[in-house]
Amino acid sequence: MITLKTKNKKLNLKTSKIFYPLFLLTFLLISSCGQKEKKEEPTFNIKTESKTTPIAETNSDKTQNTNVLGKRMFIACAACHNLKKGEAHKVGPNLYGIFGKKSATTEGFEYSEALKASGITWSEETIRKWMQDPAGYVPQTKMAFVGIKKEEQQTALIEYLKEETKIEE
Amino acid sequence: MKTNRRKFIQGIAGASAGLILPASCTTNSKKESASSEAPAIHIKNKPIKASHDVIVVGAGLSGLHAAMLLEESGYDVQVIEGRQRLGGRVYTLLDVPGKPEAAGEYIGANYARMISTVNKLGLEMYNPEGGGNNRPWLYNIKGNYIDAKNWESHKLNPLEGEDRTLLPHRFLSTISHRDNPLSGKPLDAWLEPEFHKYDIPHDQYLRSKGVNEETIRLMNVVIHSGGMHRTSAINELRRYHVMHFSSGKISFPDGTNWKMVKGGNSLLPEAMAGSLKNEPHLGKTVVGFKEENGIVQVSCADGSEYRGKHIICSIPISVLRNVTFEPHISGVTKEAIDQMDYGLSVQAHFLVKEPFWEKDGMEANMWTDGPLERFAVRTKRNKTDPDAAIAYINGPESNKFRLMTDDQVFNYVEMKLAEMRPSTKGALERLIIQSCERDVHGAGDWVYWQPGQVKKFANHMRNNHGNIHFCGEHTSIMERGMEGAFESGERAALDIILNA
Repeated sequence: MITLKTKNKKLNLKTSKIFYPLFLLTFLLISSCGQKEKKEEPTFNIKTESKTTPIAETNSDKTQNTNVLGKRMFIACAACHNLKKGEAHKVGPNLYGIFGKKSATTEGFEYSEALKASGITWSEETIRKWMQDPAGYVPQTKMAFVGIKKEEQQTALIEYLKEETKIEE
Repeated sequence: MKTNRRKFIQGIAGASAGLILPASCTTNSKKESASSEAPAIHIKNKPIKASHDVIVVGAGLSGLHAAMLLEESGYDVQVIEGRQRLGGRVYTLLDVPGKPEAAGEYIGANYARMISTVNKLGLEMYNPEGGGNNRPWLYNIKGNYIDAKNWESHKLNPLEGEDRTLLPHRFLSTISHRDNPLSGKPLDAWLEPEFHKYDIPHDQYLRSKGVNEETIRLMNVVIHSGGMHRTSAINELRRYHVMHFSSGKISFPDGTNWKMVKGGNSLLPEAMAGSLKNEPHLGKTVVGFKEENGIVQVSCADGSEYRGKHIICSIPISVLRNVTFEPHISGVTKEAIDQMDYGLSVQAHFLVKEPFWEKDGMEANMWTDGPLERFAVRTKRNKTDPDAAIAYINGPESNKFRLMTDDQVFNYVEMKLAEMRPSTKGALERLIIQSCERDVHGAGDWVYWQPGQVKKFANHMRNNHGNIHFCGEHTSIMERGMEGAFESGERAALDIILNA
């Protein structure tokens, strides 16, 4: 998404048509990779869960968030942010219950002075401005993020975040 | 089919010109390019099928990170790597006493993607005892030995006032960062036209700031192999901007600012590779890419071939000079491939048989303006480690080592050391010569931008060539080094995922 800001809008429509078969294939791969066996060539000693966890059974799929674009956009956020209640802060804060919250108020995370002083309340509108260009919105923020420039990508990510950070009843 | 081919080629020409249109999106293209005269594909051949959704070329941090993200999104990915080992510029010398890191060493507290991956794969990070390189330096400047404590009053100290307390090895980083125009700006600001005025030789920039010639000469000792005059000031300004951006603002939960992977940083690329469904193939030196009908064929030096719908290519940009592309790469991207260069660092590792510093009573570590630049007795990470030392040359003096075999490097280093420091004679045992450039797969340590190159190339580094997407530290936007590699792998993977 980072370089996409310079890309032609037509591109998406056309590529999506052309890649539709790839979409299908990808879907098939996702649904079948649970059965996929790895060849027995143990060169690497460290095994991890991700090798055996079928993608179709990951947590976010269990919550049945069908917002595919939003989920994909979140790849750009996941290194820094957890979303679920009780999960740790990473280089960025856990975003559980972020909508409606005042900026820089989640406990246990050290925010920049700039964000503390910003007086922002996180809404769809402010989160959109933030994800588009955090340093442009709040100069001197310590969030190092290049920004999401495409509106439909912002919208999908906002919807995804709304769903995933929803306060548990 | 022929029509498709022609349209396709036009698309590539457009892409190289910086329009970054995908190959299959060029029906509006009117201009006939020269390359459309290329021979039509052999229609007798059966349609070529992709063996994988994505072939990732290079099993360094950027390629492996891209592969992991793509796999998590359901793609079938095959990683291939030229060397017989994983990790690229992350390389723990496991056979050298003390297991030193030959390249990427410190994981900063702000290295979000790297830390997240380390944790996800269940690796441990730690702060080794003794920390970084904290033995004091003995300076050897113009043939004079100078202790750190004598530097302030020494006649060879070229600085004035309070600056005289600044030690020579700190000149480059401290003085370059003064009044850094990027300070307070976001980390991608270096790409903005407003800073193109600093895309000038770094020595020229420093002179304009009133820095004197002798200070510039000493700063030149440890700058990249290109030297001050061949380095863009914005390259250096960006480097220190990134370094300072999060310092004092982001730390690990235990308050530390950097860590390493316990057991060696190489465990990270190994764990990343181990997490993939398809095991990376080693020893696959890529010599060519050929794209036809949306499938890219990757040819390797051993005669093997791979076919992918997409390619992620993490090969260092200057190494791409040895790789053929069909359709050809032209325009700005081609110029960047031909002209960009990497810093070169050469390490000669020794075992210390007898503590030569006890013989002559001087500090063990030397920082010099001579041909060896730095000679350091390594800080032990474990008490049981034997004493080991490294001659570490990364400034303009390093270029000559390109002309030498490993034995010749050892001969040269030992001779120059003995001249400068007679007590080292016979006190050292040869271990290994290490440089990320001493095989066909590596280009050097980091890419560095020459004057004028940021303006010309920096916004073109991430353009895809048809279905080939480029990543690697040289394509990073906000970060540098190991986190820059991760950032670039993420961006390249998203280029594919979001356009699916």
